Amino acid sequence: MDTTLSPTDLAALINRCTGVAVTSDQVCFSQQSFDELGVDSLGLMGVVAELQRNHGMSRGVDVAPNQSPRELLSLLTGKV
Amino acid sequence: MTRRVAVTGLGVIAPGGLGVKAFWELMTSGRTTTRPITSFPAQGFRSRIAAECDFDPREAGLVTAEIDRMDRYVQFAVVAAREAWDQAQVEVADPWRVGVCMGSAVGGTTLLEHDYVATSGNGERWLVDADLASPFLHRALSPASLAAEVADAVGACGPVRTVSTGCTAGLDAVGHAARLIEEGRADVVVAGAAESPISPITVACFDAIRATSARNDDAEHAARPFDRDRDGFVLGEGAAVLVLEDWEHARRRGALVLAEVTGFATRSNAHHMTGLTTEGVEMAEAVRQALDQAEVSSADIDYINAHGSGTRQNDRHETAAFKRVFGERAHAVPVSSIKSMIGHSLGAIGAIELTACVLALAHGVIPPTANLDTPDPECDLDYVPHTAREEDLRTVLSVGSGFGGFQSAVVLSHPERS
Amino acid sequence: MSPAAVITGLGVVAPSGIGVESFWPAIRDGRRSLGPLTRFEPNPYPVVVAGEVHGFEQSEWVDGPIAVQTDRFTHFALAAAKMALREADLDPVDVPPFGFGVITASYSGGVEFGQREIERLWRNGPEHVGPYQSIAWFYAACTGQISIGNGLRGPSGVLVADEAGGLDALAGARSELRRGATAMLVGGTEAPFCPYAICCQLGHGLLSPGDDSTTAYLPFTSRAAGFAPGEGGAMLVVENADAARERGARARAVVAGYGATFTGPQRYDRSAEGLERAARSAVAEAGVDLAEVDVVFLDALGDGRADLAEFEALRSLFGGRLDQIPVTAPKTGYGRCYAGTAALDVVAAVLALDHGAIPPTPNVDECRFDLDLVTGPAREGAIHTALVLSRGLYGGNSAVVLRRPEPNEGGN
Repeated sequence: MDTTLSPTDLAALINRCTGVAVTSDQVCFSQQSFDELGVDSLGLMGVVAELQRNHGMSRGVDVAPNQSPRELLSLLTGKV
Repeated sequence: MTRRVAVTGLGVIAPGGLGVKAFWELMTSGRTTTRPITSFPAQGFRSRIAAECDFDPREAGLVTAEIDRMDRYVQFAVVAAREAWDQAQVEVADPWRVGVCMGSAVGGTTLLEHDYVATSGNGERWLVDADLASPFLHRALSPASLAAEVADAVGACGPVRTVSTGCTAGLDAVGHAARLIEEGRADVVVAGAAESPISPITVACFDAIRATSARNDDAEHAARPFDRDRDGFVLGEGAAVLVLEDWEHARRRGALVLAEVTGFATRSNAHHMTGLTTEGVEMAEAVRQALDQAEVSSADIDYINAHGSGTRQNDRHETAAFKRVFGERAHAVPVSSIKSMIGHSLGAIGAIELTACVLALAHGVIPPTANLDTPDPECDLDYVPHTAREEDLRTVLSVGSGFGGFQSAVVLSHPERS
Repeated sequence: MSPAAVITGLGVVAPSGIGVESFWPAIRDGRRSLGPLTRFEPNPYPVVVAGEVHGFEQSEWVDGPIAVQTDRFTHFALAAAKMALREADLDPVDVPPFGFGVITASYSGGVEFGQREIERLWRNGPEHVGPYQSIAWFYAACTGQISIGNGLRGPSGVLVADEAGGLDALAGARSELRRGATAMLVGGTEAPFCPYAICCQLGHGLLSPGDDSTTAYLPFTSRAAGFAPGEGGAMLVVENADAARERGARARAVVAGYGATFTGPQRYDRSAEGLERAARSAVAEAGVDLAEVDVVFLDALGDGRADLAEFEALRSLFGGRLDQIPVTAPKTGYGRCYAGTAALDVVAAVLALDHGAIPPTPNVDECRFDLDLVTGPAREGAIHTALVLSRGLYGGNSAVVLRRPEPNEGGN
């Protein structure tokens, strides 16, 4: 399992999967939700699928558009 | 004055019911046809269930050259078109006045995928080897070939086209065909839709957005529109064809008129490619427009054939839309989803649903919503659970929603409506 | 009688230019925009010459999140729609809520996006297919994205009738206007140049195998050997003439008449009668006389039998007057863009009416039929009525008549 995903990596991954520009600062500090950032439900499914495929995120974990990238990162570093 | 549009023939290929008679028996039985996928080995997929047609093209009357040339969905369409054409018994005086309007959402995906696998060596080559492609592959790229085959099957030389508005394509194709008659561009239009989407790429793309049901160990109860325990739609396949005819043209030749297409409208939600609004404003608007065109009020609608795909989002969306149009009366109008029995065949289903509506008008029977054991508390209308219901029907409404944000509505009336 | 349907805005993404400001001079001057197919390399296929769109900066036209979830054909459509709205000076918020719809024509859908995703499926497994495959590949992607991107909640449609679909879509838009819509965005775009899409197209047998971009696509000549495929297309704003006049918009052309017939896939001998009948219906519906037609924009398939059939259709239509009617096919300069083709022909015709000049048929300098085919420089002179012809690969024949608007229709 890959537990070394940094905020920068996650920001880049979100950008790649959804086309929404997210900074590592936003991942670390902002409370803005995926929804508010402009990541829709399909985009978020793409992010989650990518994390599951390549970053060892467990299949049981789900993320909703009203959660933030910061919450996602803590899910990853905490639970993975 | 705009011309009236009669339905004078029906043909259908649906899971569990090849031909109108078998289809209607299924519709009134409340049986479901959803089952584990047999079309390809589905292990490894999230959703491994579908409603498949047990269709043997040769038994269905197609000859070798047709079988070789036509993708599965085109075979469905041509067989359904021949059934409808036989019933209508149109004697074509002028083929230039006969049109075709067929719908499909994903067209020739089955053949496209089959030949992709062959030419790419299971996905190994970006520069595919064209020498390994079937000589008919080009027909799969463009579903214009669908309408062309149907046109040839009935000898049509008028306006011929394929409509591809995703999952409203079946309703839209029939609506568009009716307009060709209303506007005087044709006297007869063979209208309908076909789809054979049960292939790995289509299953995988719905897996990726979790739109389809993963109730893999209970396939026959997997399509559960309006039920609390639903978890998405079940993919289906099939085709339906209606012969539409200028009312006077049909009357002059003494044809048996099965129903009248009285209203059609489509609106977009401009909201999201797959998402629906919770309020159902655009679907309500499409319904109102269709009712206006039909010159009926919401009080005249005796039955609503719902989109009822069995996703939570859809079921709540259209329930809201019906309440918006029908107000308090929404609770008194029977609503049902035949997708509970035959799955969701994407572009084809709208035409199959309209066929069910014509039969419902003719027989005075409303097909039920199967598997509706415990209604979603948000969905509190009369969804005709489990069992078909006898009812005198004069005017019925069929609605659909499609990826792309499309909302369509068709109104059909009993031939003796006035 | 209901008000006319008038064209008020044009958006173009074509091999010969992005935006009408580039497209018009290019086609007026007969500029050649065909070249080697470079979308993938190496190119192992027996089609070398194509019309590619170069210099298209997707980020200029499509937001990042939308770009990720759409194919190149939708990028073209979104860009062309934006240009058309800008040209029409029409903000959708000023149109009644359900009064603005979209109809697009498509031939091959988002096939490059689709090839990438299906490759992931077969190479890596089902869970590698992304969430956007479900909305990027299918034929309805452009109509849906244009509707969402511009807040258009009116009647929408998607037609697949290959090249002819572009004209069928225009007629569909006109029908919606007659039924109460205020404005429609209509057209078609295509991006058919990924390897698998080329592999599919090879089967129709009409792609020119020539490797010289100046001779690969020479319809109506003795050297006709098929067509060069193109990418791109056009979107147009079509409005209810009264609504357009009320807001002070300039009507550039009236969509006056339409006709469509079917004569079967590649049955060219029969397409002569089919095209003729479609054209007669269009002219009759337009309420004009055949003698009033000032120019014909040709289908120009580039197959000897098909060219002959088109010539025969014209001869039956115009009889002995045929050699006095200028006919042209600007698409020989940039290729046949499938469902984008007829939309581009309509744009070319509108620009011709507007500028009083008939753009030529680039690369073609002889004609094996007794036709007044415009070659060389553009033919100048007032044009009031244009006939546009189109045939689909699977047998559709469509025709549209465009005419200059009268002053009471917003013309000037």
